[in-house]
This record gives sequence, structure tokens and C-alpha cells, in this order.
Amino acid sequence: MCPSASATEPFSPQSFIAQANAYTRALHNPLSRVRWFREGLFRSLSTVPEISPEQIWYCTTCRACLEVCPVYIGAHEPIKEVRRAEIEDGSRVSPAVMNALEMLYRFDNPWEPSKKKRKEWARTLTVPDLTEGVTAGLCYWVGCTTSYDTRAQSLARAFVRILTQAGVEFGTLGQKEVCCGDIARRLGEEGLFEEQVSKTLDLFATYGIVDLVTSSPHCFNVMKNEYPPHPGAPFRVRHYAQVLDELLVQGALRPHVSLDLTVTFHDPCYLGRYNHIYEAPRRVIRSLPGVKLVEMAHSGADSLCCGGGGGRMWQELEGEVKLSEVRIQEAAVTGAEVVVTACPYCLIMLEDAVKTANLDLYLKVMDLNELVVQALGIGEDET
Amino acid sequence: MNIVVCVKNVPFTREADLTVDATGRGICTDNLVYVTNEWDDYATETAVRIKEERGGTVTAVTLGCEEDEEVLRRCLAMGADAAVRVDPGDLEPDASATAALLAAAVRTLPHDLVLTGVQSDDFNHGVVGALLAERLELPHVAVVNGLQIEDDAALVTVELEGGQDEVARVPLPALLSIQTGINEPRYVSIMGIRRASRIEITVLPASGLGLTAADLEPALITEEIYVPPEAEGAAMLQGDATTVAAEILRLIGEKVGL
Repeated sequence: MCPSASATEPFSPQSFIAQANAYTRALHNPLSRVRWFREGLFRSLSTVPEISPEQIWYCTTCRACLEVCPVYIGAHEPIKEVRRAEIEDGSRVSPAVMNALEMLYRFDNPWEPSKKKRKEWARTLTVPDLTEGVTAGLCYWVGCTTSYDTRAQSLARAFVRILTQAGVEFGTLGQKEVCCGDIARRLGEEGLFEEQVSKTLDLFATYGIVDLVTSSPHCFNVMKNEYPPHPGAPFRVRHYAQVLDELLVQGALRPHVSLDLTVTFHDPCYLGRYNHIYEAPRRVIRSLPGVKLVEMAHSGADSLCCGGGGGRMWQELEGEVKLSEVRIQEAAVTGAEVVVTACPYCLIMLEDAVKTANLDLYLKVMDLNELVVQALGIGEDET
Repeated sequence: MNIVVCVKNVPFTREADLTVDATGRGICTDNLVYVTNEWDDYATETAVRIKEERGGTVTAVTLGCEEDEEVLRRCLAMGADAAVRVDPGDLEPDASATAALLAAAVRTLPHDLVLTGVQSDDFNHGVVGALLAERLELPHVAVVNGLQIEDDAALVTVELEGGQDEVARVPLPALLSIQTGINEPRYVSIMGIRRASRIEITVLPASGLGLTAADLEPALITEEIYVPPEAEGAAMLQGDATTVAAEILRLIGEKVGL
């Protein structure tokens, strides 16, 4: 089920694909070289609704259309191509998208005109910095949204405390970390994506990084599946849910505080549908004492997007229903007290929705790390 | 129609910590990120749209060092056909000398219309457009927020105070200083900039422009730049609305001696 279409937004993957199909067939039909046929072919197109440039920005690239399509066609891939063309043309790009990309180009993050602020998420926490002479096997890739957004920052602080508790030797790239380029690619800015990939790989080479763990399923996915073959040492990248799962299995973490909570898990699209990681975060939740996991109407491969993917975090799009509110309503009806997620975008979107839908008295939005920290009894996060 | 648009690379100062440099007459620029002056972005978009509609050429001109060529590459990516960089060498031109140097460069180019931004985001003097028009002996309109090109004239809208607009017909060639908001400048992609980097930028050294020492004499001499000292007298009022209102009344009474 497409989250955008079901929220009555002016986008439907099915009609987008049908339109794209009709146009591509007409444009690339060998007969279109013959004038007489060409006119006929294009006359026939007048019955097909045109692909509007606004339409393509609604896709959250959540891949839900691919899951339900009997012939396995997803709209997100052709959407990416149309977005590329729109970015190259440049004249219809919305100011919000332009601003995010300009920011990324100048300041290596789509959020703030400052490279310096990237380290501020740590606050008073001491975080080993691999660029300041610390050597550690594991590099924690904090990511832009987790570094700059005040809500998402606590995800990173919680994860750092968990890693420290488990005795894992790790470090971050501190202020030198850059944007991995994912957002540039989702918005169709392929040139900028290439630049960010090259900057990231240069960092890996400079600091000898071969093992990474990310906050965001988006950084994780792009590094794992879309980065070009690395000319130097190959690297391994995992999402933090996988690392938590491993640490619990190894016994490096011993959650002992019974939380007495019913929770539901919101699958981030880029962790679930893109990388088929459905069980690791659930195993982590089940291992926490006193935590009962209930599922929403849409979960796993059938999960509903929070509405933050595909660059929609940075856009103000008109829609009658907020995608994140649809999702938070689903979470609320499970009777869970907490909706847990494992992605900074989902965390921000759902946190926002729980307030705008007036559900914040009944439902709390938490990152998986925040829940684990509580069960480990290693204190509350400073606010 | 041949259009020349003058552009500038300026430091992005929003949220930047500005410090005065060792000379005491300038700002430390080491850690600043440079961007196209916002007004110039609108001027370039205006020029490119006129070209797309009526044909002709757009030439972007900047005064600056090699690093400042980025601003020209962005103009080329937006649709400019050629770019010229005036290299100031050892000169540190003020607005007046900048106008003299730009005028000398623009004279070497065919121009039916010259566009500048209203002001630049670094020193915000807002005078280069007017000074340049004077040097080029062209009619000048400042703060243009609407433009329609006719065959040998431009119908120009200027924003006045209180939401009023003034519309004037200006014979061409003319020089217009473009205000932000006149259009929506297009996005410039990295691929576009890469493609534009194949176009060669003409470099004109300031020394070869035939300007005299009098032409380049600064009209403005900066004696000192300093951070304004923190003033006293601000008070934060605490409490609910009634308490705050009463406190404000008391303070006003004190000040005016009621």
C-alpha cells in the first residue's frame, strides 16, 4: 500500500508507472521516426494524463509498491530518474529541496549552515574521536540527522552509552564526518551524491576505517548497497539494530531492569523493505525484561512509511492527511504505550505526529537505543 | 539581445562567527564558506530568462581571484554563454574602484543590457550598480522587481515604500540593479557545474584595462572595524502577564518621570 496514495495525496505509483510506460513506449517506438506515425502516436498520448513535475516529489521511496506489485515493479526507481531530470533542468525545483541540497553542498549536511555543530550532539558525553589519534576497530557513523536534530541526537547518546557499557572499542569521525550522500541521491542530485561518496571513501581511507555501524538505515543502505566497489580496503557496514542484537546474543549486554511496558515496533523502510532486517530489532525488544511486543496492522514487509523518506523530510508538500499521523494512529490502536523505531527520520516524524494527533498523553515515541538504555539501567539521558 | 551580468562571490555569514583580522580593517575570511551573492543569483536568472525568450547572449563578469571563478561557473551552468574574470592583482578595490574595473571590462563586451544585484551580501553598500551605470554612461534603475523587455526599451517595475510600485520605460542599453524575489532562480546541479567547467573563462588583469590611478582611487577608506561593545540597560522581566505588565508600567514611569 502506497502511504502517499492512501493519504489521498496527488500521487499513485500505479498511475505513475502506467503514464511512464505510455510515454516511454511512444517516445522510443521505432515508428516514431516516421512523421505520419509519430503524429498518430503522440495523438494517442493525449488520452494519458501527463506526469506532472510536482507528482514525483510525493514518493517517499518506501518500496511498498514493489512489495504488493504482482510483477515486482516499484515506482521509486523510475521516480529517481525523473527527479534526476528535474534537478538537471533546475527550473522547477522547490526552494526547500534547493536549500537542503545547497546546504549539503556547502556544509556537508542538509540541516544547518555549520560544519562545526556536527559534534554538538554528544554534549557532555566523552566520545572517542578516530580523527584525533584514537584507534578502534569500529567506527560509529552518526549521520547528519542524528548529529543535528535535537530529538534524534539522544539516539546517538544512548547508543554511545550502550557501546561503552558493552566494552566495545569504537570511535566516531567527530567533526570530520560528512554526509554519506544518500539524501542527494534520493532527491535526484546524482553529481552531489558522487561528490559525497568520494569524500566519505576518502575519510575511510585516511582513517583506515573498515568496520562501520550507522544510526540511520539510510546511511546503512546507501553504503551497503549503492556505494561503488571500494578501490582500497573493503568495508563492512551494519545498522545499530544488528549490533545491539549481536551484543545481546554474545551476552555483552545484560538488560536487567524490568520496564513493564507494551511496545510496538515501527519498521523503518530502509532497514526492513530495503534490507530485510525485520527480526534483529524485534529480538532486541523481546530480550528486554518486562517488555511486551505487539504488532501494528501493517508491519514487517507490509509496514507503512512514516513519510520522511525520499527527501520528504525537507519538503513542505500539500496533503490532506499527514502520513506520519496515519502511522501513529495505527500504533495507538495496538494499545501499546510506546512506539519504538530504529531510524532518526522515523523518530522525528512520529514524535511530531504523536503531538499533532494529540496522542502524546497515551503514546510515547522512542528510539530502540533509548529503550535498551532504560533496560540496562544506565541512567536517563540529560535533557 | 546581449546581456552582461555582474556577479560576486561573497562569504556566507549566517550563523558564522565573524572576527576582525590582524589589520583591524577587515574580517577573517579563513573559515568562511563562499557563495554567489543572493541578489546576483536573481540577476543571472533574469538574464538567462530574457535570453531563452528572445535569443542573444549572456556574459557573466566578476571581479576576483581564481577561487572566485566558482561564481562564474554557476552562472555558466545556469545558462550564461561566456564568463569574464577581472583579476584585481594586488589591488583591494572599494565600491568605486570596483565600478571602474567592471566598467572597463563591460566596455570590451557587446551589451544591450547590463544587470547587477541591488547590493552584495558582504558590505551591503548597494552602490556598485549606480556607479557602474555612471561610468558606462547608461540610464540606471535600482531595486528592480519586475522587468519586461520591449524591442528597444525595458519596462521596469521598481518597489517603492508602502507596497507601491513604480513602472518606468527605460531606453536600451541600460543598467538595472535587480532585487531579490523578481523570479525564482533555478537550481544549479553539480553535473551542470561540471559541464560548465569545460567553458573557458576569460581573465582580464586589472593592469591591462587602461585605468589610471585616479580611476582606481578609493572613495571610501576603512579606518577600523570592530565588534560593537555590549551595551547595558536590557532587563529581562519575569513572571506572568499581569506582573510583567505592571513592571513595564513602572519602568516607563521611571524613565519619563511620571
